[in-house]
Amino acid sequence: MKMKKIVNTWIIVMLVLASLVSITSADDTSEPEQTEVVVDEDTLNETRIIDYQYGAIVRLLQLEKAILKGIVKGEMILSILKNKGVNTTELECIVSEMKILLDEVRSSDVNSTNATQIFVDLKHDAILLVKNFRDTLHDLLISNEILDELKERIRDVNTTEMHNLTFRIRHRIRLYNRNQMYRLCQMIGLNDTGIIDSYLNGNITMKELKSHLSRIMNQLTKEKRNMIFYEIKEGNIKSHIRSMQSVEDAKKTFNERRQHRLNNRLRLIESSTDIEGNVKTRLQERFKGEMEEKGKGGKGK
Amino acid sequence: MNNKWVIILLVAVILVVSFVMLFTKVVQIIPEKSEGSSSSDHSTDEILDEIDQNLIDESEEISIGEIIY
Repeated sequence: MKMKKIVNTWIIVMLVLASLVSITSADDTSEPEQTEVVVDEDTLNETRIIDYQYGAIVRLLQLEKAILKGIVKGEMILSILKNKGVNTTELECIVSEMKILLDEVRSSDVNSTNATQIFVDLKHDAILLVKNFRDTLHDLLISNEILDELKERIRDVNTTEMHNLTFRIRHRIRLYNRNQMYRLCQMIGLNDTGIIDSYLNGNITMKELKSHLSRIMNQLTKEKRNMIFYEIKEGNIKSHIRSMQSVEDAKKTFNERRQHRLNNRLRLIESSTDIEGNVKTRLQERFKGEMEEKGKGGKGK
Repeated sequence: MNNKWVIILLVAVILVVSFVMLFTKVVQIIPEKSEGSSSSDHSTDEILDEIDQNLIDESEEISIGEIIY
């Protein structure tokens, strides 16, 4: 009788323990596909500003520049390797795909409510393509001398297009920063915001602007300063939580969206007249291969 | 009597473990610098530090990795 009591108690204890474990880990296990996509810390931080005006446009322009840089470097490498008689079909496929991705970044809607999702998706694809290029180049087993030559030639690459993009990004960053500092000016009751326009026009630096506002804030009462601090802090915490939520949402249907993008790209390749025949065929094979693989993975879940 | 104590001890352990797990979850959500909010008097520098979190460095770039090893 006593033994039966102990066994019953043990069962209850184990049930309680099991339910506690399931509660605390519910977020990780309820949707298995979420764990497949890892959004790195950098991307998470980058998404924090997307909700603000000019935030999304800054991030997408920065991504555009990063991809453009990859394409320019990739084309330089292709040209050098072709001259040395190396078969570059696989690398050409990747560069062609990067060009399609670049067009997608350029045509994305920066005002979309899904801007975080768009950024996470396209940055993921860009990272994947750069990695594919790097791995494919590595698999070609080219000599160390050629590798050193390639590294040297692409080191400080800069084109007019990249240069212009840098200016556009800087201007958008200033517009974005201007808005942030304007909020601060409103909080401290500074009506003359000419100093912020000076920053926007490039007449003063952000450091000088902050130093100017710092002098004004030092004249405020402790209570007013505390109030400003908590207001900004609250906004920061809210924006942090919002961006984390947006990233979590972006993870949910990631595979379906990737499949959809691959489908669109495949259609684009099939109708393209710019891509060379053998590269086109290989690209089609690559896309179909990945789509089939993803399809199988999706069915398995 | 002994069994009773074993059960009490087990329940206590379970409660402590679950509390720690829940606490870890909550801590993950709170931003890194939230400990500053406990202070009662905040300087201008602290306000600017908070503002800094939302500013973008003009030379900042997005990294998608290097194209070559």
